[in-house]
Amino acid sequence: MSIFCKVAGITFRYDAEQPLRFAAGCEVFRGFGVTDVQNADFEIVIRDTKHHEKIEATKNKFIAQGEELVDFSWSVAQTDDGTDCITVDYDNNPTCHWVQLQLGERGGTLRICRRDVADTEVNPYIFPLFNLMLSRILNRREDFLIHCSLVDYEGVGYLFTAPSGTGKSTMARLWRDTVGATIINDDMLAIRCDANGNAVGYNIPMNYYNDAPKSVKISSLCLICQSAQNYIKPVTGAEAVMRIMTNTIYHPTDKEIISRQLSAVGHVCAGAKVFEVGFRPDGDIVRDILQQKL
Amino acid sequence: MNYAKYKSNGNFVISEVAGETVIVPMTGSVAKMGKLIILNSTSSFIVKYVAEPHTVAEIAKALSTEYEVPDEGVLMADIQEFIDHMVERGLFSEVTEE
Repeated sequence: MSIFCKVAGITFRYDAEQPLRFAAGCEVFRGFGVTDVQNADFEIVIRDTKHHEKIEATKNKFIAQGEELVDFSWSVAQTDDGTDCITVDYDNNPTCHWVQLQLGERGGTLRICRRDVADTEVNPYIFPLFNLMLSRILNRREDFLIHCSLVDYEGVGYLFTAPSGTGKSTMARLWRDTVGATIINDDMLAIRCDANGNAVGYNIPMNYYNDAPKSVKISSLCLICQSAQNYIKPVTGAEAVMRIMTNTIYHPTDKEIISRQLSAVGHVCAGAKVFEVGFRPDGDIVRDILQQKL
Repeated sequence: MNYAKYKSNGNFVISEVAGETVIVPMTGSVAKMGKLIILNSTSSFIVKYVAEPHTVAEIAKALSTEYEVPDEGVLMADIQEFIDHMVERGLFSEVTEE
């Protein structure tokens, strides 16, 4: 049986080889499951795997560092033939020891080393593998993932980006509560340019809750920070690109990855306005932004 | 006088963005990659010049042929400060000659 999901306008088809089977149809994609897909953009085969069959991809290896309070570790590398290889090792996952995705141009093989061989149910949307794969795929297309919140107010998208703990979720809630804006997402989004060069923000499946796919064209990108007084000031040129780039998600296994990410962020910044926004956590900042027609 | 030679480690991307030269390091975790670097014309010159090992004095001499520079003492101090910053970031290294 095949199952499908569509994320950021990209369709994925998953097939599980015997003895594996999917847990609960498209529900595993947390609201992003789709049916009636004729030609998926990416086709992933899920394969049961033994411990000793783990591939040691070493070329251009990037190992995640500094992530605390998680029970997994991951790396992105390439095999000798240049195929991208994403590996996630789990310390305490009840179902598997590790997963490994070899990602080619249009698809790949997701190999799962199960902890309990009697349990044949698999979840293709195992965290954080999907996000790691999506980051890679978006980068290939000169699009990107970014830590941010995004709201849709009367068809106009306002994006707020900053390091964790600065107020991305707070800002999104202020927009919802003050003017009834729709929160596209308050943590991470995929940003893609449409055929006209406009930046469009898409929500992606979240690990802990279900959501429906949403998107909006982005008018303004705001670099937010907490401040005693509200203020808004434009940021332009290389400074704008580099400050937005800082909050995007990519794994610098080689220089081409970085160059494409820079190019993608540059296109978005060229087509939208970038501001630094200092704010106090009340509705005044929403009114200030709307009054200044960012 | 500092006679040490310095060389770029090449572990970064140098690129033109909106008419300016920027550096994105390949080192460290994504989360800690926060300090991306925008170069002015002289620091951009230095980054390219130390593709091969050079002393601060050699860099200063090469710079003074390309740009109008302040007095030599100020120039050498500025170059050393920039190099120290890049060494601290793991982007340049002091070269040990046999």
